[in-house]
Amino acid sequence: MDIEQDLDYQGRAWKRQRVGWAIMGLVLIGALLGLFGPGLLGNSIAGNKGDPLWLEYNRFGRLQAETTTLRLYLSQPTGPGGQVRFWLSRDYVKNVRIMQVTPQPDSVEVEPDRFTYVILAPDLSRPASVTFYLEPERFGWLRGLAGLEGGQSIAFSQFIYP
Amino acid sequence: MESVVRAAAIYFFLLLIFRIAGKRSLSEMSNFEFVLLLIVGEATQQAVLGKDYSVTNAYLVITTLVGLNVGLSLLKQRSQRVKRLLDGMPLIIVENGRPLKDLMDKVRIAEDDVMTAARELQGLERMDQIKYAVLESSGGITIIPKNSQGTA
Repeated sequence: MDIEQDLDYQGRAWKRQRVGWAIMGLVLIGALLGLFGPGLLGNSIAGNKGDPLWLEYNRFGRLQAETTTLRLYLSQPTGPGGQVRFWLSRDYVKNVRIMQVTPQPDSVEVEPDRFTYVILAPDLSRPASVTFYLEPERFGWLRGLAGLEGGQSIAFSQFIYP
Repeated sequence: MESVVRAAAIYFFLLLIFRIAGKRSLSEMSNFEFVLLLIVGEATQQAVLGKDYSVTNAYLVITTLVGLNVGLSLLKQRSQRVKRLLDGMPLIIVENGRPLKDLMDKVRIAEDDVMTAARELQGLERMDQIKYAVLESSGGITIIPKNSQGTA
């Protein structure tokens, strides 16, 4: 029969195929563990629990997907009447679309290098948490800085997949 | 630019994943595999288009996909190596009525699959009526029957 058959080549192709299956398996295991978004490996903390400010954030996010959250825990008033003023670096905010902030801040102030958010939290016996639901608009490493006005600041970084 | 990059990324990813999955994957579709293919299409569509539903984006995406396909077909025509890499090669899995078990196992084909193809394509009843069964690079099985004088 006039047919082009090459068993040596075929054997090498099958080997490559098995390697491909193994990689597929590893990718799936990685995905289940949170290597591509929220999950065990993807959830991270910056700062120390118990400090006036610490963060929970996703180490990995995906471009234009609403799977990324940034949660700030605040336990120290920075102004009168339980006012807490905290900020996010402008460089970070320009690379994400903020879909929602819960609870809604009282006000937002735009400064040259940061966005300052103001919330009212009269009782801080337990830390107040503010959650940002984000949609990354750029892929690669996003580096952010969050801080309390006049207080500590915390750096964090996220890897955004395309 | 983003539309072209997105479409190209998805094109090459699909090419790779279906090569890895093997020839038979989704070539002879059961109902379930048909649904699976639709879901793959749906997931692909969203990744390719993103949130841009404009006509221009559709033009760009379609042009990219068709362009890549034409480009690869030209490459395949010129280089046997590229053709093998992208399409794979045909493989004889039954020779003179004798199933080549080792090879069939490697490509995940059972004797039943060969007999199904033999019945559908040639109206054959038994394995020994088959001269050659070939798993084509497209994933389909073709059957060459023994001539009527050679068997009965």
